[in-house]
Amino acid sequence: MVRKLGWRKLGWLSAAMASGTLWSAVASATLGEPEASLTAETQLNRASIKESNFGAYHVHEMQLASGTVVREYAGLDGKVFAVTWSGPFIPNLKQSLGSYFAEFSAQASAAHGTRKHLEIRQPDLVVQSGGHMRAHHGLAYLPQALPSGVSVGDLQ
Amino acid sequence: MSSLLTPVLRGAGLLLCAAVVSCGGGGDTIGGSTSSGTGTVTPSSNVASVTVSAGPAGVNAVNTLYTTVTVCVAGTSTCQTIDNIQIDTGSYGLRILSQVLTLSLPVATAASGGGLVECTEFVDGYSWGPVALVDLQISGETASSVPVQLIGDSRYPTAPSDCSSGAPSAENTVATFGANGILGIGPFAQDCGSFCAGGIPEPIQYYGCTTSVECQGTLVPLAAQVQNPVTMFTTDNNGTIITLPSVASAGAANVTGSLIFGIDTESNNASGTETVVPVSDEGYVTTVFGGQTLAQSFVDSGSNATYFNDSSVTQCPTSGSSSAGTVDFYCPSSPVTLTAAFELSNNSTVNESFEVANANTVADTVTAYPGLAGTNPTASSFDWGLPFFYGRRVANAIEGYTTSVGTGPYIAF
Repeated sequence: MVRKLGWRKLGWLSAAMASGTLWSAVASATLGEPEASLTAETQLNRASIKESNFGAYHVHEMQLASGTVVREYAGLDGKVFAVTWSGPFIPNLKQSLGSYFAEFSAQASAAHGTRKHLEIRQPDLVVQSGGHMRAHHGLAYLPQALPSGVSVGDLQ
Repeated sequence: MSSLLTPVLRGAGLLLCAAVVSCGGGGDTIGGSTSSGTGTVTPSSNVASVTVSAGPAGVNAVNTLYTTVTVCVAGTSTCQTIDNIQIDTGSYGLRILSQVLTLSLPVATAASGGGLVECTEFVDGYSWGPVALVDLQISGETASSVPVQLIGDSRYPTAPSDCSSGAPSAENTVATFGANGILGIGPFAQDCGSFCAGGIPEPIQYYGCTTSVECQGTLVPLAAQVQNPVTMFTTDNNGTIITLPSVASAGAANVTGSLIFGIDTESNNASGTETVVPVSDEGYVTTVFGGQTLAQSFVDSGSNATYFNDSSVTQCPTSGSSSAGTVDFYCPSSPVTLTAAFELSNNSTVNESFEVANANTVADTVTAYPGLAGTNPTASSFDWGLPFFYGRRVANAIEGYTTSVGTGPYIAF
C-alpha cells in the first residue's frame, strides 16, 4: 500500500522502560478529546506504547494485551482526530470514540452492514471497520478535525 | 427503498415467517438457474450438500451458502436437525440461534465458576449467548461434546455493556443474524485461541456468569473454547473443501454444491496441482490489486460479495440516506472482468480474474450473483467473498495440519 508519510520513529517508549507514571502520561486517547483527558481510562490493557512525531500531528501506538495494535493521532492542539486499529479484536470503541460512540452506535444500528464490513460516513465522523473473527482492522476519524495537509491516506 | 440497497437489505433480513426449520430457503423457486460445472460431488460419508439459497424465510439472502447439521444432547440420541446454517470460512465454530432450538442443552461451566457465556464480535454487530456441549453430525461425520455457542439464549438475556463496545448492534435473532446458525470452518481450530486461554482480552469475549445477569471475564482453556468442529471429527479432520458450480452473470437460484471434509484423507478430497496460498497467523492472505499490496485480504465464504476498491468502476448511485452503515456497491452498465493476484509463499503471484456486475439489476429470484461487488472500508484489504467460490474447489487447511501440498493454515484452489 502507498503511504504518503513514512513511519518515522522519532521517539520510542517501550513497556519495559515505562514506569507507571509514564504510562499515565503517555497513554491516550479518545476521539475529539484532549490527550490528557484519558488518564482516567484504564491502563491495564496497554502492553506497550510508542510515540512518533510527524510535525503536524503525533501518533501514539499501543499494543493492547489482546494483541490488537491501536494508533491514536493527535494534532498540535493535543486533540485526538483519528484512531486506527489492527489485530485479533476490535478495541473498545466506547473508549476510543468517546462522545462520538453514540452517533456511531445509532448509525450502525440503522445500517445493514455485513458481518465483515461496516462503514459509517457522516459529516463529522467516519468509521470504517472490517475483517473477520480473530482478524480485525479499522479506522475512525473526524473529517473536520484533520490537521491541514493531513489526508486520510496518512492514517494507517 | 432504493434499488441500491437491495442486496444489503436482502442480507439484513426481515422476519416474515415465525416457523423454524420448515420455512427455509425452499427449493421450489428455481427458475432461470444457469449453474453448471462440477459443483456436486458424489454423495459420500464426508460430503455435505450445500446450497446458495435465500436462507430462512424473510431473510432473502444473496450469495450466502447454507447447509444442514444435526445436533444432539451430548451422550444421548435426543437430536435436532437444523437447516439454513451458514457456512463461513471467515470464522471458527458452530453457533446456533436459540430461537430455532428445541433441544434443552446444559450450559458449559466456566473455569472461574458459573456458566460459560460468550460475546462474539462481528464487524457490524455482536452475538451473545452461552456455550454448550453437543454431539454433532454433518453428512456422515460425527464429533462428540463439541463446544458450540447458543445465540440469544433466554437463560442469559442481557449482554454486558462491554459486549457492544466494538460493534453496537445485537445479532441475536434469525432475522438479525440472517441464518439459523453459522458453521465457522476457517483455518483455525478455536474462535479465540491463546488470546482467551492465556489472558482475558478487552473487550471481553468469554464470561463466567454466576447468575443470568452477573458476568465477569474468565480464562478459557483452548479445548473449552467454541471449536471449529472439523478438528473434532474422528476422521477427515484436517480441513475442508467447498465446491460450487460456476454461475452465469445473470445469476441463478438455489445453486447446489458440496462441502467435503478432510484433505487427502479420502479419494474425493485429494490434493492435486492447485494453487496454495498461505494464511497469516491472523487469518489474512495477501492480494495484489491495482498496483497495491493488500496484506489484510481474506477469502471468505461468509462475505456475500467481492469487496475491493477501484475508483474506475462505476459505483451505484447514492440515495438520500446512503451515508449510514453500508458499503457502496458497484453498478457498471455491463459486467466487467478484472484481475487481482494472490501472493504465494515464495513471493510469486498468481492472477485470478473476477467479475463485477450491476448490483441494482439482480433479479428477485436470484440467490447467486457472481458479479456482486462493493467497496471495501479498509484500504489495505481485498475480500474474496462467495463469488470467488463459484466454479471452483476451494480448500481450507486448518492450522497445524499437514497435507500433501502444505501445512495449515492455508487456502488452496
